[in-house]
Amino acid sequence: MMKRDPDLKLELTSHPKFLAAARTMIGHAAQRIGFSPLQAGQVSLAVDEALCNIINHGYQRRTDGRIWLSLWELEDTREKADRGRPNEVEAAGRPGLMIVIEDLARQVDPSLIRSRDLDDIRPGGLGVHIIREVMDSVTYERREQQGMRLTMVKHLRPREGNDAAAAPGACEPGCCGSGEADGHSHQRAAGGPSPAAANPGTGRPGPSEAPKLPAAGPPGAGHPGVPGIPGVEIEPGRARVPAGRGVRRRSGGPHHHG
Amino acid sequence: VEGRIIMADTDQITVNTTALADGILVRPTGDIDLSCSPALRQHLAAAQLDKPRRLVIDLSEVPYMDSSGIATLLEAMQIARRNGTRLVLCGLREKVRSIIEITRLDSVFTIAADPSAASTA
Repeated sequence: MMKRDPDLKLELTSHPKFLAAARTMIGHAAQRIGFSPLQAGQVSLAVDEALCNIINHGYQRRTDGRIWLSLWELEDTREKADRGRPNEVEAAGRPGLMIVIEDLARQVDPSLIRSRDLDDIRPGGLGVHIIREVMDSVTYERREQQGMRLTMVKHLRPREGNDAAAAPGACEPGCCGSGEADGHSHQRAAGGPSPAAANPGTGRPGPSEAPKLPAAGPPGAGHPGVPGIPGVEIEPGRARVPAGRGVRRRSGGPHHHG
Repeated sequence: VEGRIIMADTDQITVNTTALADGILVRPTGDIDLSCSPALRQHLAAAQLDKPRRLVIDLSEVPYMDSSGIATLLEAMQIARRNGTRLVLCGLREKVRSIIEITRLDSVFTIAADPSAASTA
């Protein structure tokens, strides 16, 4: 269970002019946590895309909506777990970061949040694909009263800091048998704390005290332009990326991403 | 590269448009995200009004681009195809190249190293 408060919090309105500030903050934090400049830039990109989706689809370009962004550094607790003393906060967790983005925008069925077919070359519909490609774990869910919650996890890789190894498509040594980065990319379920269990204090991630929630709007309203995630396990009110989902070759072969 | 230069400032980006022998060179400067991709879209549309033979988009001064920028480039490509214009991207920096690869558009766009190479691509 993630018991502690976020290491970093940002509250912003749904105005595109604040995107640069948000991604700059996240990028700097990611580098301090240990990500390479390229990987940190990709984490920033995922956050940017998530915020754009909230602005465009959740708030439908209204610029006065509220958005809360929280970041936790995930410490490497595997050694503690191996010694039989699992850390209460992040049992057997791999190092990295977790980012939770919450809003009060209209709710959508998480199973409907997906990218367009990449072979259908046309403008738009790429944000969700980018998020899922860049992050190791991506979970959309409805908030309890109103709005949506997106939880994203990205782990540090061995030899982090070597952008050649950490570039899109690179993988950990040995993860695909050969130990060589052959140009394919992986998406994994979180090896760290479950996003659902990642709640500071209350068991819920995000701004437990920040939003003064108005009455919840009608759930399940459509989310035009952010269509479903194929291949996800749907639990009540949430969608989770199953382990191993999204493994693909960068050239040729079937695409498994939404 | 010779020709007239049109500069347009928005809050976030500057867009220079230069006439080439057989087309137009557009060079945006600054991050391209949701806040300023509409401005770039306008400039690219204006650059294609006369259906140039070649449209070179020099991204060497664009450190960052999100999917709204990618959408803007795809729109320009669609217009270019309708007009019979050869659209070439050049000068891609690391983060911009990364998002083009992540979205698997590196085989869709014609990409050159620099404006000189783009003039013959």
